[in-house]
Amino acid sequence: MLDDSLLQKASESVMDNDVAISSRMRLARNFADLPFPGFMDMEQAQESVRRCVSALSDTLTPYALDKLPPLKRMILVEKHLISRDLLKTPERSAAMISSDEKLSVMINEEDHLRIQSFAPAFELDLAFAKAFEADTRLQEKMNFAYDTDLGFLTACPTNTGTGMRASVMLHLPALTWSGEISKVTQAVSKLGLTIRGLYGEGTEAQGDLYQLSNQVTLGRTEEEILSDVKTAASQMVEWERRIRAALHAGDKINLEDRMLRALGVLERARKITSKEFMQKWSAVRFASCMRVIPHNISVIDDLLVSAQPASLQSQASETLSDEQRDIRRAELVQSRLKV
Amino acid sequence: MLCEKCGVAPATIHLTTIVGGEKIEQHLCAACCQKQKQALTMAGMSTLLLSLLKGASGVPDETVTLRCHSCGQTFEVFQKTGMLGCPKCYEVFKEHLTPLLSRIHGKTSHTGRVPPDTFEQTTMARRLESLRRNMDRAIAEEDFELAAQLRDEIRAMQPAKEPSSDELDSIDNVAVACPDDVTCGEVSADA
Ligand SMILES: [Zn+2]
Ligand SMILES: [Zn+2]
Repeated sequence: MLDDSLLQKASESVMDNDVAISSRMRLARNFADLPFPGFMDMEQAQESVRRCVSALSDTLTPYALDKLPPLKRMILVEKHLISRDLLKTPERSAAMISSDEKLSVMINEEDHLRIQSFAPAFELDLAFAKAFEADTRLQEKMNFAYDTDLGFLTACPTNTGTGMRASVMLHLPALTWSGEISKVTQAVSKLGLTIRGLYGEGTEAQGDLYQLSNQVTLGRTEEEILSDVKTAASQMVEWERRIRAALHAGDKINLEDRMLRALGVLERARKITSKEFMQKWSAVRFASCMRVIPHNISVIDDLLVSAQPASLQSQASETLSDEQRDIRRAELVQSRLKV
Repeated sequence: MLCEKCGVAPATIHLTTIVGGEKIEQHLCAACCQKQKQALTMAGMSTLLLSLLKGASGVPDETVTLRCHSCGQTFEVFQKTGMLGCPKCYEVFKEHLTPLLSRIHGKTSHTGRVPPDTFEQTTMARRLESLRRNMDRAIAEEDFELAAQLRDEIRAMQPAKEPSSDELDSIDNVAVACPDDVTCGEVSADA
């Protein structure tokens, strides 16, 4: 028989995704001899795209955004492979994406290049290594805007220096429901880090999903920044776990009632809006982590992208009205949640 | 109608937000609406920068006409948008950007990775910088033997064209007055 502590250790390493959903790295880079994207003319924009494509087309697939149907563009956004901002100027921008969708390069967003890499759960090290591997490959072929004092120069001075943003997507239902989240925000800002709701700036965290990332990019090395974010993220993971346990121990009936009602809606409702879905999704995910329900967490996590509007539309043959989309969402959720 | 967040208090506030192209309507009580506003303060970087720029009221009038010759961006427009026009802007606006960078990042010098072509140059510059710091510390601690040793290292690294600074010369005098077998504390501190 396996030793209890050993078993627990093994399950913990697998179960790191109870709080940390995914990790992301972003590097901002600009060509030394071109104005930043906001100040480029059409010819310069095309030149920037041309350079990136010729340097990266051996490993990444280029997407000309203006030739991509609007629905396909939105799916890339819902998968976080490109930003909404990139779509503001589709005729001037492009994206390059790896076949496994773990690496993407946005061309002519705020900066000429935004190298992004994605890794599951708390594997920020992996995302870090992949982003810099791509960066190194690029720097063999091109000159980036760089200043000995200020490091890599970016369109916005908030990214100058390393141009690096390391982030971990965290699911914090317990911290949110208990109101502790405001303490988290304060603690984090003292460390040169920032935490914000994942879906949209300036709105509440839908689905109790937050993105923890570094705010400081200048005067700290890439490794220091990585370690800052990792340390803070693991503290928040522990913090969230503590409150989860405390909530469950303190008022089991009411907590489980809230979780199971949410599951009831997801399993039974005939239509569900995106907002209601996110609310219930959070409670159901929480329930799965606490083993209140038998559902596998990866099934629940997959829904996060597949129940988004553009993904639902892409599965349909005709254009869906809002109500039709809500019906499709309910159908999809029910088919996936079948144990 | 009850507040849809807490389900306890009556909903007195009707809130509409657009997230990802979808209109979201919420019926909240005053307390939950307040919490929501707190979440607003968790906004992103650009918001932070713009608030810093707005707060920078001490910026002198001459910045209004400060213009990057390369891309045409003015400091005035930058203060509104937070966006620079080209890499050259960093030189043109340097004087005004430095305090801003310091407020955003707490530091004003890059210590991270360097492009391959400037690698040697940068590592050299950083090594020199750290030698100079150590030398200054040695002088402050009156460890003139170490200071002289560091000075020699700095000289060996520097290209011949760069004249030695006053600082380096002043140590020279100290070093002469400080034979190897005498502890440096015995040399007069005003040297
Ligand atoms: Zn309320
Ligand atoms: Zn400029």
